[in-house]
Amino acid sequence: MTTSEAQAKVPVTLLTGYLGAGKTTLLNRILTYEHGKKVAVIVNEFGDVGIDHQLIINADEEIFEMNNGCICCTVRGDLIRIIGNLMKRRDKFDHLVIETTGLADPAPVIQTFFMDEDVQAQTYLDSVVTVVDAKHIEQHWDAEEAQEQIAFADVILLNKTDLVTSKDLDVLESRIRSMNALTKIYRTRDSELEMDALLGIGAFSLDRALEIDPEFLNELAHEHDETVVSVAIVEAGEVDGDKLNDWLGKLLREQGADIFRMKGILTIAGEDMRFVFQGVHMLFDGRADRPWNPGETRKNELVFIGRNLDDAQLKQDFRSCLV
Amino acid sequence: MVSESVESILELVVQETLLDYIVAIAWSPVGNIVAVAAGDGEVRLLKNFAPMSLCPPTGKSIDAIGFSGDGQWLAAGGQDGRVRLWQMDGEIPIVVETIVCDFWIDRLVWNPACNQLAFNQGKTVQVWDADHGEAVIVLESSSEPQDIRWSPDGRHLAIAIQSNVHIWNAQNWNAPRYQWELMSPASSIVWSADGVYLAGAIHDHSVGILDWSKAQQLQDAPTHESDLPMLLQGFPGKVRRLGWSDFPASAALPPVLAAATCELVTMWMPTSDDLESWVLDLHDGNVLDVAFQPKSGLLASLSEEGRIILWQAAVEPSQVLEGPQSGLSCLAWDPQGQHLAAGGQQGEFLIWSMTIS
Repeated sequence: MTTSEAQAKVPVTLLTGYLGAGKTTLLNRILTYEHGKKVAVIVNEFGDVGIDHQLIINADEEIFEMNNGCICCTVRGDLIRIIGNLMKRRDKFDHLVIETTGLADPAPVIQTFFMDEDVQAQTYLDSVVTVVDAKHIEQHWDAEEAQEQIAFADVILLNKTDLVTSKDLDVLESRIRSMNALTKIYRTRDSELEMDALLGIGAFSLDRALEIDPEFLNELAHEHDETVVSVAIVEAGEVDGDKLNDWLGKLLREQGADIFRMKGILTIAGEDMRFVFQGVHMLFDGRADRPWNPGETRKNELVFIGRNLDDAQLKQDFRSCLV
Repeated sequence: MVSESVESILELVVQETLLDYIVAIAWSPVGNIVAVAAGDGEVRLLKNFAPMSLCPPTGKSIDAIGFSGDGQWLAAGGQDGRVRLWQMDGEIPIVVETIVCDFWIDRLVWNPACNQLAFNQGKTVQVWDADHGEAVIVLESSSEPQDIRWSPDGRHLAIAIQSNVHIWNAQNWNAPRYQWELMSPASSIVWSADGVYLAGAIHDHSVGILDWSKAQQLQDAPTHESDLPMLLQGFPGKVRRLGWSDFPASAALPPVLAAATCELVTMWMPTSDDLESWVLDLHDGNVLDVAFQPKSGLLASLSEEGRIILWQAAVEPSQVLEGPQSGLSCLAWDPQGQHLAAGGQQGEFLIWSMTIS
């Protein structure tokens, strides 16, 4: 793909979070910030939006099951259609924001941007932003949707910080960190955040450096009993490409449904290039990105975010792929 | 290679410009009348190639337009959730009805046999009687319809919803509907000109073909293998468009199906004991639309790189029509097969006519 083609693609921000967490306030901030740019907004909760905006489209969540060879996944049929219709006016908007209901699973939305050729050719998912109500999250903590929205997030706004103590915030943040070791967490009031932290993140771009929160790695024992956890593997050495293929293939087949996201940088034996990859459930995207620099320490870093992940088993299986 | 010796089949006769992406083109069944809709909501009519604006740009797209079977009505629907109906009998068509439904309308089809219009309305399909100005029925569903098509005789209405195609009896809406189950949802469905087959472009890169002449005879779900719908798999990408041949009855040929996928058009034809398939590979960009010339074997395929290729007998490339480099979007033959209209992604609208009749 040439640079000009890449530039012509419209960035997409997926906004998730419970009703009342502060999504609408954040959406309004984005719309005000992108003043002069045309932002199209797709919402699932029309009544809730309460904003005056020309390109606001109401969508009913339509989950499509897709079986493509050995990959099974779900996509959002309504988005395929609406984006198809919208892209016929490609000069007319510069950014697309998709706001989901608090009860929606983010996975089908994310997978739509990898599975549908036309959606993929014309747009790219920039990031998943989740707004968490710091005061009321406790009530939703056991809900699968709440955990999924945290697990899939590239950016989390811990919102309404004025309503809780800083000690409670520390506990909440550490709890979220144990679930998602990759996300950026910001403490906010009224969803107020620098737009640079929110837009143009390129979270699904393989070119983006893998950033595991150092705090997560330093925390020796994760004493949380969440069902959704992050597992980070950091190892020196070289990986046998064939063994890695077999392992990842088996892992995605057997545990793809439980793995929300994964990312990694690997040193493949006999290769001078770094290998980078990412995945969403059973969808996998990986390639050699650039040569290791002469002074650079060759390494392997992998992060899995998912449910029912066996930390020790994953590490052991990965080590057996080393040369 | 395209043969040089063959004389041109079509020549350019009209070049119009609208302001936005051409989303839909519809020819009237009577007279030389064509309507074209753009992404900014403009609807323009060309009567004997003379343009007239029916609806100015509004900023909200018109996504579906169509003429009634007798040519008396033109309907258009789009993002603003309204279906406008123009009566076509006067010198200047006038809007006589506006159906308000608050959902983005992008599927709108006329019953070929009577002036009933079916369109998507959220999770329902509404059937509207234009002559009487009233709703005939609202077909409810748990999901949004992906495509809606009347059978060529107007007796059935097929609706693709989720991983099913429902086929309703249009003469008795209370009769149990036929249900064709698919592996994945279909994005579009098309009847063969003789109404024997119904084909569906399925999201999992496959095409399903239902033999409706057989299926509607069966009382129960098919049990014998030869009664099951056919599934064509292995397409390299998304099947963006399907088109059936419209051979003259005298040709006594089985219908041929064209499926546009990636830069290819794949062809499929049932033979007495098997099926035959072949691939047309000459485009440089994704093929977005295909259509057979009425009552002939000439196939037109349109790609986003701005070119239309005419394939003689759906096999031999015989003419390339150059469109705008910014890309083409859709095409349509007039019902007599004398003219081919095509729309561009920047609002270009072109008509070519047959050089020999």
